[in-house]
Amino acid sequence: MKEYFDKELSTLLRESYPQPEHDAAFTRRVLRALPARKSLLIRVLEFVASPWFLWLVIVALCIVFRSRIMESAAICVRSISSATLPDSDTLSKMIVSFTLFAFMLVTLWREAEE
Amino acid sequence: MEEKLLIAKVLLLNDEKAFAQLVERYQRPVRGFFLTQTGDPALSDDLAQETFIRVWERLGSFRQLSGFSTWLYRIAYNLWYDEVRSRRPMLSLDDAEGPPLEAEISLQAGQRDENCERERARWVRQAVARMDEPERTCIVLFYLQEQSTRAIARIMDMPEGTVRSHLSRGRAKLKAILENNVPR
Repeated sequence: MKEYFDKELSTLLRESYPQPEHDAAFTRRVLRALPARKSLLIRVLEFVASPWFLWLVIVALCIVFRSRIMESAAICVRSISSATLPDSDTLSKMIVSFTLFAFMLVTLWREAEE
Repeated sequence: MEEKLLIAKVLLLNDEKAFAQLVERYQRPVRGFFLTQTGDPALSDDLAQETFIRVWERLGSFRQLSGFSTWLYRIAYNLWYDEVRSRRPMLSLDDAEGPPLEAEISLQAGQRDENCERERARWVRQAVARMDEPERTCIVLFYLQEQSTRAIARIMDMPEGTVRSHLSRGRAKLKAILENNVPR
């Protein structure tokens, strides 16, 4: 028996549990039992309400404002290296850009975690 | 047809033909999983059907973070878990065949040549049926459904290390039961 365990447990189990044969009638049975199709409108609304839609919107915004995000990052690096604060207008743009970018990362992270 | 294409067709077009192809592709492993757990072909087909209906309803939530088969087994496992929790009577394959009593086994010792394999299979099934639920499911998924420990961890929503522990304990229990009972 020992050799079965060390080498052939998988075979032993497979021999002991015959798996069902393919059954076309089962597929037909499943198809008959499928719930009614949702309308296109319902599916669109479901998609809009899903986290994917939010993620897509944020990614699209990041792509549209990519130059501003990069510019903000460059200003941020310069400000840190020169130890000076940018003017208030630039600072507010930077905050908006980084918030958008942070939203994308957080949403992506939460999606991946789920 | 490529699996991802089938999934996309079901998702975007509610294409029943594409879904039928997915069912055709996965019906044997899913029905096999439930048959191993329940031992009752009718009940296992009912549970497998319910699994595919849930797949149809929830395909939109499939994030492709894992493979489709892992996601499918996860639905099947959750369904099975609910079934066990609802305390429906669980049959084993041995119940269906009439499990051999220990006395019967000893009486049959002289007839081993002919019945050895069948007897061994019954003992194996009985040994698996005696295992605790998570250990049994880990053994079934690993050895019969050929899922990796990583996939089993996703299916059963537990750390991979826990899956390895269940497998190890399950193997040890099977060994202890079978070494003393199964005819060689």
